[in-house]
Amino acid sequence: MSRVLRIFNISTGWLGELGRSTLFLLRILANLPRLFLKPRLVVEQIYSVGVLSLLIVVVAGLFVGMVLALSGYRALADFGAENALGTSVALVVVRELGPVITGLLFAGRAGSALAAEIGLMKATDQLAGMEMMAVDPIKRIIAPRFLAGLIAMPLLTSIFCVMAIGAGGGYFIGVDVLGVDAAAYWNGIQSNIEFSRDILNIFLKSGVFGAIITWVAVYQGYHAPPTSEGVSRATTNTVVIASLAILGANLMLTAVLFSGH
Amino acid sequence: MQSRAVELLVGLFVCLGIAAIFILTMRVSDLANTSDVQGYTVTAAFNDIGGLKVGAPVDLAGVRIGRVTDIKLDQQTYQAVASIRISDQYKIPKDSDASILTSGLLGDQYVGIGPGGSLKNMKNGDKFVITQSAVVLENLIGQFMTSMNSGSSDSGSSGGGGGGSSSGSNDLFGHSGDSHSNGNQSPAGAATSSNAQ
Repeated sequence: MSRVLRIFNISTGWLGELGRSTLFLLRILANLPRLFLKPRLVVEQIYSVGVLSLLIVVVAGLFVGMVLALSGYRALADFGAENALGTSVALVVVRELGPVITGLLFAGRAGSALAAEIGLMKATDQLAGMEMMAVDPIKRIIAPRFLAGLIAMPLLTSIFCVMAIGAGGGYFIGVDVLGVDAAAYWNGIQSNIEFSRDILNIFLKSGVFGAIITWVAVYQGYHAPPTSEGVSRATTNTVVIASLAILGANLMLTAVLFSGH
Repeated sequence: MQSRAVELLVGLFVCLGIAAIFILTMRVSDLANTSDVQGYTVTAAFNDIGGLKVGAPVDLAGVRIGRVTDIKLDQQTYQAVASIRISDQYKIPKDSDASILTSGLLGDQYVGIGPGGSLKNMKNGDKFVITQSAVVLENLIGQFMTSMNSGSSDSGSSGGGGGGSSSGSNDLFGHSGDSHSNGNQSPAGAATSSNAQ
């Protein structure tokens, strides 16, 4: 009997958490339009989540592109189809790896920092102080960070894709090192990547991922217990939950977007 | 001063991102193919275009002279009509022929032009009179199998392996052709050609 009760308690706890985070998201969304009057708040946050994540995203993009070209070449060379190297690298990067890896890096680099920052603000009573001064912390602190994540993720993902496919990544290994014909590399890419499906898919996926990551991060930070342990747990939870949510959402988005093929 | 540097860096970041989006749109995606719009359009009707796609290159003697801009089905003749846009700088004789070829064994399909001997050149709206359809691997194998089967039944039981039941060996070859086109993931050519069957 007590076991049933425990399961009931756990599941209602989960449901309560889900409901609270959804209400939290709605409160953020309601505050977004007012941010256009104060763009400076958002610009500062784009700096901390976007610009500071740029280096890791660029380097990761280069290495992912290089390793894809290297291993893809081995597989394709068996069939004498080296000329399809550009196509295979570009399709994998644009459709799946670009948004997913950028999302995972973003969760680790920017999401954890967001959760720790907001959690520490709460632990040091800064958020309570704002409320005392009749400043809504959701409007002033949370919403700009959410919008910044939403803007930064598509830009970072585009940069990742260009790095992985282009001159430093896949192109470097494929054409300069392994000797695939440069024209075949680009022609294969251009005739197989469709703008309406593949490129718009980047923006849709990365926008959804950006929203998920920042939502999880600000929620975890905002509701963290105001102790040092609570902040550390909020940071860990952010990375774990956001990463798993990205992978799950990616499966669903891929199933919906590419169902006709 | 501090916030000014932040604004600059964010501006740079957004510029980088937009540049990346621009590259993805104009260089990586298929929009890059539609950029060379100068030229004249001619059409060619094929019985079977195989895996030819819009945007496929049009070559003459290995030099790219244009692109396939449109593929439609002619409801009267049940032929596929490919519209081909050729750059203005290339003049080709009126009696040239067009055939659908494959670059490499598993590569993408393209249109190869064989120049004719006419003194008149093609102009906008003209049609290729002589065309050669794509070679569909399955048909080729089917022809090969029928000719081989009839050959082996003529000569009795000379070939040990070839003497088996014809339907069984046909199936075997059909399967190997299928797995080839599956292994070749990226050029949709092989996949669509097997769909078209």
